[in-house]
Amino acid sequence: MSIATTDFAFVADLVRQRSAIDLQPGKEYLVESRLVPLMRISGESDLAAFVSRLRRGDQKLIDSVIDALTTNETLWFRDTAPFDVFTKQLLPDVAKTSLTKKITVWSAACSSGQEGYSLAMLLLDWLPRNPGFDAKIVGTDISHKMVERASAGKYSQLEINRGLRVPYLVKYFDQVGRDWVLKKEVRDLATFKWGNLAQPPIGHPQCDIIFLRNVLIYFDPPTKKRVIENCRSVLRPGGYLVLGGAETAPSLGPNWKRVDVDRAVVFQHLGNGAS
Amino acid sequence: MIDPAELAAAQPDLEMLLVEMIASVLGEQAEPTAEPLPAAVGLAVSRLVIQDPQDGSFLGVDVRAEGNLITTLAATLLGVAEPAPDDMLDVIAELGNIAAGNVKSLLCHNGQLSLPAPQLAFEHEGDSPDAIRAGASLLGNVMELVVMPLHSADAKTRWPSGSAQHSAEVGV
Amino acid sequence: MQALVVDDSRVMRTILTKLLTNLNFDVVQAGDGAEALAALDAGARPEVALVDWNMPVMDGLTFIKKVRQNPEYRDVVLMMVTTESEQNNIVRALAAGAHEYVIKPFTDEVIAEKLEMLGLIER
Repeated sequence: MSIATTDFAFVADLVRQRSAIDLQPGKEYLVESRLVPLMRISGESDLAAFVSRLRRGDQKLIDSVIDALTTNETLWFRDTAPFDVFTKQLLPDVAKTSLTKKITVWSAACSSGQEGYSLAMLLLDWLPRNPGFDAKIVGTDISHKMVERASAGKYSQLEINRGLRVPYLVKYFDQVGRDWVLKKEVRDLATFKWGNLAQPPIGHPQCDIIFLRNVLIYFDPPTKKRVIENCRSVLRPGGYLVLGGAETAPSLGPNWKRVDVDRAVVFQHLGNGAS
Repeated sequence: MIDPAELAAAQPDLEMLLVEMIASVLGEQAEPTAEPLPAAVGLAVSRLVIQDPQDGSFLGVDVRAEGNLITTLAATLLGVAEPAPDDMLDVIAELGNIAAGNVKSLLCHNGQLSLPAPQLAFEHEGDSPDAIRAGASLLGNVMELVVMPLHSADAKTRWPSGSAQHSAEVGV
Repeated sequence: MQALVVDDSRVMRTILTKLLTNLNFDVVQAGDGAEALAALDAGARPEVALVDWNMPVMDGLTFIKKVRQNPEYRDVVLMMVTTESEQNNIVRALAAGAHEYVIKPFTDEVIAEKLEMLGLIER
């Protein structure tokens, strides 16, 4: 389903006014992939009709569009597939080849922490079945405010409604008034700090798995290359890079092997020899 | 019995709850307001009661809005051109229900929630001094959420099946 | 695909029915647990039931227990959609056999995400 040029320009304007994000022509696929699910829910059958509702000022719809196009991660277990693959395939595989028995996972562009904590909850399920292992999640974001929010580990009722499997809510959260706070065991597994993906990750620990989802789409090609290089510099050989499902596979270079698993976009780092 | 200071301190939370509820159920942007409901205008009012399991005390939760606003909302939500009084009652009842459930987790953990009692009225008597009010403006109208300690529940209060109060009523 | 919406509020039934219809479900409505059981007994076989908690005649928790007791209905996915938001109530609902739990107020996306998580829709 493709979006008309004028409709794309309108949506790009809307996003530009409300955030610093610049959706240049060429990003149509991104806008389409984010809008089509919203369009289905709204009951419209084509994007033109959907965008004309935005033009008429449907505030609820406008908010959801801005959200979908600017926020990196506001959902728990967003897209499901990468998390299934994490537990079933990536985690057992890196554990097998780990020399230190310490698994480090980087949630890059972690936003308010839902991705990082989703991974932490899966690790808490996994660790007791794999004695002798240790694990941690490191989350980084370019927004200080987001880092602060993620570190607090406290979410509103509206936020915990978004994609969190309810057994996890019951097991790993405490209710405080109308808010929900992650239990200490989950928060202890994850740390969050400020970081710019386009700069070399100085002081960043070596990682086994990196989640870098729905981020690259916002960068121009040279920056994209730099970001991937920065990830490679801290990812151990044999480790995995997980990208967003809506992202077309960029050419990562000869050091990477694409691993097709279910609906997740995963690349394995083969080592530094070739480049 | 809820502590009056605790109730007063919850005012900002009630305001946020009201604005959130309006956004997600009605899809309308609302702003907190101190403006009261206009006097002598048709109102839609929903009353629910929460009973504290510890001491048996009661908390009343009202959601009130101008009749005009509820007519507009009923038309959108139910997809009818000219909403009947029943349609308006249904709308205010469900708003009251959602608000009260959230008030319960905020102020009266594990309390028992009654079923909503909605009505259309031309005025209301004014609230007791210990009532806490939150208001929000939307579509040029005002909606308010008022929480107050009650000495007793109205005898006509309906309790959901499965609750102790319901069992007592039907003599189970 | 069929969905059963069980809520004593006509407004809530209408909101959920519209949302589910947009996601290509055929929707059967019931005003309380007893009506919903009657619909199942009359042959309705929904893939999923969205169930309110506080209702007259038969509440949602009782309904869920009754559905779970009947092996004929074992494939029905049960999702509580309620304003009851306390943790111990969520635990009770899960223990009774609910698969998922949505706290009111919710947005349309919330329901769609949960249905996707349960493998009932693809987006």
